[in-house]
Amino acid sequence: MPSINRKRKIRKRPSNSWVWIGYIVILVFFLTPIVWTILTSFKPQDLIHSVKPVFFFRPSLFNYQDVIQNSYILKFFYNSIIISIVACLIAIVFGTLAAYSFSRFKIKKREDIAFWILSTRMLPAIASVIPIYLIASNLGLLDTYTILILLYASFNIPYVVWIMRGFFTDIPREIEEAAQVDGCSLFGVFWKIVLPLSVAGLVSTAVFIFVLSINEFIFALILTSIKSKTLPVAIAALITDRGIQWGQMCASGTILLIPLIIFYAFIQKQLVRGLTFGAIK
Amino acid sequence: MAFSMKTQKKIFPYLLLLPTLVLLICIVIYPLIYSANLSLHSYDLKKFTQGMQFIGIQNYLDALKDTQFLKALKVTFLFMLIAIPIEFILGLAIALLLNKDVRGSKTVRTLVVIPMMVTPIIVGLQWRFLFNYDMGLINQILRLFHVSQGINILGNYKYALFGVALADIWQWTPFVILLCYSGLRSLPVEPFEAITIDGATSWQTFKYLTIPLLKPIIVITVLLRTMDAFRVYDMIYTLTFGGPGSSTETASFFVYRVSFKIFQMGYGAALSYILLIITIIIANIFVKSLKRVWEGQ
Repeated sequence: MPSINRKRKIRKRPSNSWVWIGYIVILVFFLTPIVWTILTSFKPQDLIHSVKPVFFFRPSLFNYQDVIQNSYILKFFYNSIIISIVACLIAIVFGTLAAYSFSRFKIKKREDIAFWILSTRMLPAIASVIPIYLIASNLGLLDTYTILILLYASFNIPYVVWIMRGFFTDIPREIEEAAQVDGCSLFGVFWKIVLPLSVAGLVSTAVFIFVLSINEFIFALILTSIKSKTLPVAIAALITDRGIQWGQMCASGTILLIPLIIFYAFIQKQLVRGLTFGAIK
Repeated sequence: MAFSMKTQKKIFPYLLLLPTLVLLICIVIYPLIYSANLSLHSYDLKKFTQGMQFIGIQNYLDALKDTQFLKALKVTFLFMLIAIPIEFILGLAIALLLNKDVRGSKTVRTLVVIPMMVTPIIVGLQWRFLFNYDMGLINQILRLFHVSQGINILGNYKYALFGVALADIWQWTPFVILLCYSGLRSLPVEPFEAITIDGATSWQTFKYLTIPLLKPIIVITVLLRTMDAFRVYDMIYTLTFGGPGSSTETASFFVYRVSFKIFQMGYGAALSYILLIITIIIANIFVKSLKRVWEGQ
């Protein structure tokens, strides 16, 4: 489809300076909170409590040393990463198989099942956290990696199914039919032909759901206590009765933020697909 | 091979679906059934030796008379009513601005989406810090320019919800920008050329062409935002913890407090079922419009 860009060549060019002023205002509003958090994380304690805003200072790593040594932030970060990676792998494997099934085969009530899978992702977390807490405590699964991995995997499957279904539908069927004629088994077609063609989509989907798992809070808050506590829960715990250690908060927030921003760079192009379950490309 | 090719072809698609369906039934559906049963019982974890006592729909009847719960629902809808329209108008306006062929628009587009990636609990903490009366950036700047001695937005029960809405607007306007922008990019060119030749003003083009063509995307965007805003929880946990008083206590937050601070599990389950039903209604509308978009492709 031709892009809308062409239209502009007919129209008069907009006055650039007004657009640029708009851009600057937009960037200031959306980036200041993040920049300020990162900046504050490098400030010594006395500057954080200053009454006037401080923009220039000698950076110090005090806050980082503090959260790493006293709040064990890195251990919780490690928990977050392990749980999210394993959950992500399970969701990708299961979800991709289902997506392939939806995109290629005639199944009874196909659309109903696909939309049912999608609708499981729309349930409010609070509705499932109560029964899951009780079930997990009966099974002795509280404060384990296992329970969070199972949960995050199943929460993310709908995204994988819908995003990958879109990718698979885009692959021309003729290639697969040719392979089948050459004697390739059904699974062989999927494994040797379809999957290699969708690696790019798989990677960005994996990163997308990895970010969602890393950011998850309410289940981790209620189901973990010491051993498998995740980083968001540990950071929220920096709010104490005596107030908040802002320096610590900004440092641990930055530790969590930086990888997310790097990941964002990878999935930028596929983000819309992910966020709308493949409806908008 | 044990099976003929024909049988294989019949079984294979279902085999592919099996792992997903088993996992979702165990992790998503079973707990909901468990919870439906729980909601018909009185179950206080503090007195767990008493166990569960069947009380029928009493929990649901209590919920409808629970002024705190009704207030939490009111706060939730008020929050949605403040945040979503602003996010939508701002997001669409910025998307239109980014759609202009100006140098730098690509960079702005990349940077503007970053807030969406930030962990919601960090968003809460970040804004709590910015709003802080003594050392928050907002009050520091107000004082620097002698505009005011400082305002305590989150400490005042009248304004706190606006502070929460602002944090939500900050995080989720980029979502609207991103979706509307992709929508604008995918619009066909021809009608725009035709309407320009016919001498339409840019406002007329926007009103009679852009908006109607964008409609499916607008519907999806607003519904997704509505569903997410309805279950908002994480950000409020670190931003205000529902306070001051209960002025920013949303429905999800109230259910959390009933279940995990007061340990009324049965009542909590009933409350969460009420939220579930409201979400299902919104989700149904969403799925219907999504189906239309998928079929349109």
